[in-house]
Amino acid sequence: MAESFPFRSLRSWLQFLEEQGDLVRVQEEVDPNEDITAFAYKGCRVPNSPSFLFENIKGYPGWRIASQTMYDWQRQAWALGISDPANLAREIGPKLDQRVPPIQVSTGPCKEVKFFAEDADLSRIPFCMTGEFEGIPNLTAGISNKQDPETGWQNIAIRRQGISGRHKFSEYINTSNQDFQIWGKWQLQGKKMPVALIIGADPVACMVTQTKMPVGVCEYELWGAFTGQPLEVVKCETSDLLVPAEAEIVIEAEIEPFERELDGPFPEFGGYYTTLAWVAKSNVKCITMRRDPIFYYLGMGLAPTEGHNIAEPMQAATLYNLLCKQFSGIINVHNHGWYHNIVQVDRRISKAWPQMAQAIGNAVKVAIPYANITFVVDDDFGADLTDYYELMNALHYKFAATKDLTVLHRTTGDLLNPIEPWVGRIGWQDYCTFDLTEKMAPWDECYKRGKAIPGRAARKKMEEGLWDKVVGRK
Amino acid sequence: MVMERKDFDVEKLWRNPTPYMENRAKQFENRDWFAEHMDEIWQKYRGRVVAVWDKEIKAVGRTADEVWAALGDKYPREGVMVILVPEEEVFKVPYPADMVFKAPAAY
Repeated sequence: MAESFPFRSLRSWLQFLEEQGDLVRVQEEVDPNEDITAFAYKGCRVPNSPSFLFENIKGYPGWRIASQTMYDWQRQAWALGISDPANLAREIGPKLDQRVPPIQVSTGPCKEVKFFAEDADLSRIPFCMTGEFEGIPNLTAGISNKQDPETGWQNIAIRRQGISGRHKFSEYINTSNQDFQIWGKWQLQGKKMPVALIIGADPVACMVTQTKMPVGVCEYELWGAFTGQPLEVVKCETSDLLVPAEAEIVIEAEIEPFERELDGPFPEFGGYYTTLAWVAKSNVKCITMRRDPIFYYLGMGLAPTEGHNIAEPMQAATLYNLLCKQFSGIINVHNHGWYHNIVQVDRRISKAWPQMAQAIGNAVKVAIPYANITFVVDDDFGADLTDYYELMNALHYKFAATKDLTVLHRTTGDLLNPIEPWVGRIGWQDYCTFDLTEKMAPWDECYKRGKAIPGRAARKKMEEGLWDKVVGRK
Repeated sequence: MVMERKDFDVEKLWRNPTPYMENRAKQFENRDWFAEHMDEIWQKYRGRVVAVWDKEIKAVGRTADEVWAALGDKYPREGVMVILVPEEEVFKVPYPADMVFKAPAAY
């Protein structure tokens, strides 16, 4: 039976991709040490690269590893049931205000096999290396669930864990993240904090972790909002944490309140290796999984990677949602590589609103504190915000640095961004907004004369078949 | 379903680990030794890539390729821990407790 939206498991998603001709099953033996990440790296740098299901894993006979299934916006649009990837932000943005709570079921496929205590051995799982000198493998695709001990709120997010022992792992809990606040409450009580790592969830469960929700909102509720149906979850074996019933693997652990584990170096999404640091230490209590589990490797490192791309549409949707509440004339939003945003506005509004672009830029920085650069363009840009020729054109023809560049000095950044020395706290970075819109009079004089392109009738002829007739291909 | 693999039972493999899995476990032991001796290793090898096996540094180089060349094929690749020793000192990242109350001395 053909699979269709909504996809409740990784394997139904993989089957759908295969039906689209978008999944390659790799039969050659691959080493989890570096081969998988090399496929991911190459796959992000050639056009029309497929998703992968590696079926012959060195040292782990029977295991399979999936990767690159959420790499581009087209695949994410399929996962979200949206026909045009360019509309992701506009269609998902309004749904961020909706909530459909998950429903708890008694059991699920993620409970088919259970390992406790000494049996819960991380060396038995094919964790992958991303770089050549990170020392130990890291889990890059683990959805980490943590619970507020006072309110019961469960917060899920993709975090990276260093697999440092058979029964332990390191996790950097970033000061700017919500789970840092949650952990603080556990520390104040002097208690170990339960954590569940979900590996191989369905694509929407992965994507909702990339939104920016207020404190108290569990991202599982967005799964329901995006799909129109509640997510089925099951309770963990050793805590009250809830995990998707259809997940492939769940690792249950406890984060020690005052112990530390050595972490790094890791090739992070900032594009360079992080340094060594003493971070939170977790001890594994239990591992549950399907009887024939599929591991997931999320590519990380220098952009573009699947790790960057999984965040882009959700961050764009988050910004679209917030900006539409503050400004009229917002047409679309695109996020590129996590740190950079392109916001498109209606010229009729931006030309009548002094310094609108700068105001939009400031609003973006408030919504996403680690944002680095925001480009504000207008509808003259065209519908494709990923068109970097258009972006360079806009920079060339609509930007004068002395009046169109706004720099906020020494703002909050991201400690994984290598711009500043990595000193163990949220990084400092300058933030800037490029106003690439048409300006108010008298600076709009040239634009009013029209764009230097062939006439509408001539372009229409091309679109209606003349090009295809002459050239023979699109 | 097409994606099922009925001929595979992870529990059987779990109870009968492959040499690769055992070497992974050794890699974890090498990591623990590295962490325990971090201060002295950093003093001596900062900025270099080192290879740890069986509680010893077996090779040092400027790049991972240099280290692997020095190691040859004497050690299992999945067991040796090849790691960059950064130039800067290892530090403790801030914990929530740092900001709200005085933590125990041991921490």
